[in-house]
Amino acid sequence: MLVVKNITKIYSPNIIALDNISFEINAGEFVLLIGRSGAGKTTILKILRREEEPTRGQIYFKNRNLLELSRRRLGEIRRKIAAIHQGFKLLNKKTVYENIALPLEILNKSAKDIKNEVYQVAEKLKIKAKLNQLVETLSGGEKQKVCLARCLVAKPEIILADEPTGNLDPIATYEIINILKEINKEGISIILATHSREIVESLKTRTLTLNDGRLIRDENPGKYTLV
Amino acid sequence: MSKLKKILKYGYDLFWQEKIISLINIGTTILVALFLWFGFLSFYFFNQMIAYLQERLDFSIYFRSNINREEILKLQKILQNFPGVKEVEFVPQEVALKKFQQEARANPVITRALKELQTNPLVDYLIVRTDNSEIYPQIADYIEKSTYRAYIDYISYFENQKVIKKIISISNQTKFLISILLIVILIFSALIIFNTILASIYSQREEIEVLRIIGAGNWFIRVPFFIYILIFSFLGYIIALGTLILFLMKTEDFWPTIVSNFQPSIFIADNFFVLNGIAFGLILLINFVSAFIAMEKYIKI
Repeated sequence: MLVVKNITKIYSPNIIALDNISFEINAGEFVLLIGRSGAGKTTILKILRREEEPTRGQIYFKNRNLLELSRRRLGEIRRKIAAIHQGFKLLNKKTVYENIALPLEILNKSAKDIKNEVYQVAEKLKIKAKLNQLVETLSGGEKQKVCLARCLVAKPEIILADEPTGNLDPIATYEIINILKEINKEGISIILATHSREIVESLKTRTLTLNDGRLIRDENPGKYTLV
Repeated sequence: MSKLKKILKYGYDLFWQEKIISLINIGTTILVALFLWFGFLSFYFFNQMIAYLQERLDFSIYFRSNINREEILKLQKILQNFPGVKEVEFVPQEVALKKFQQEARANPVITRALKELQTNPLVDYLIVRTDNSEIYPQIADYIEKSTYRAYIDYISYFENQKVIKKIISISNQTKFLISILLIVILIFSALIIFNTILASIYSQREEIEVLRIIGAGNWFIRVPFFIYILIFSFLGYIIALGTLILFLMKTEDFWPTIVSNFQPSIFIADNFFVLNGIAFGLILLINFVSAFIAMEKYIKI
């Protein structure tokens, strides 16, 4: 479903953030992206959503070359390839409801449809009681659930999670990882960037290892590939 | 709710979300609007002043006493056919006295002096009006060489032409300086607006980033800002215009004492839509262009 071919990213003057990265993600896959800070995890995730442009390489999503898409079509791709971040990236002065409803507002859905879909997702993530609260009053774990809810209302096919548990306590981390697993079971692909050994060991799933901008390992439990 | 209504609502929300920045934006708009109006009114003032002085730069031919009026009327006819002459008005000494009495009625010394004289000290005269004051020396030259010279006491043009021409030249130079000053003010206004808009957008950068991340298009992000700009520009402009009109109403009697034909309230009333269109249009244009440029940085995500 998602094919990354020979992606290189060089920041001026000559800092190589990503060096000839290639991999494929299949529909419904749960993939971990690991590596130390500065290994290039965030950069590759940003490039996958065209939040940054690569210096070289190609990205295909369902056989469409993402890098050839006009900026006007990016919105559609960013709803299909959704993202959650360590820093949440929510509108703190707005309510939980308003934040979750945003992608649907962009799609110009009717107020009735928006309400139905927001309530449905909020119910699923157990944040229905918080819908009228301002985001700034929520805990880290709750904020991350709002981020996930905001992704889910747009019915994404892939969720890119960039260190989503980086700011969370162990209980909230456990909760978020479980939600991601549930979402994955529904057929949504997940790429989870993390440097937490506990998460890697608990998930036992395909893991891509980045080091200094290079993909050094692509391993499946029981199947080990040295790149 | 339609997409347009939603976007309008976002713009309205932005206004209330950042109250202090909205107040600063309104303040900047008031300042810039008042600058622009200062420019308009300065231009109008100097135009009126020049017109007033041009009027004073008259060409009047004063005759000696007891000259046969038929001779005066003959000269009037000759001058009326002179190329470039618009009108030649004959003012008999009785009319001249009446005019003078009326003009000097506030001056008790002159009024008393006229009463004590008991005779009319004024003479018959002709007022020559032309399209261009440069013709006056030619008319003067003609009279000097004609037989009518013997009937004439003096010609007013030569008495005050130097002073008036100097004032007109100073007024024109001042107008030029005000034009330059206006351009400088406009550039500074644009910079002030740009910086304020930059601050507004900087305070909203996280919102812009979030909207980009969840897939909002450029116009979904830009239009609410433009609505926001429209709201504060309109409010600021109305406050500035209201203050200006109130000020001019309170000082209505003062302005004609400087230059009798300078009446700013009438000038504003006569050109209300054109001047407001230019001033408000300029403010909106600078605001929109500033917002467009300032947003590019954050919208490029």
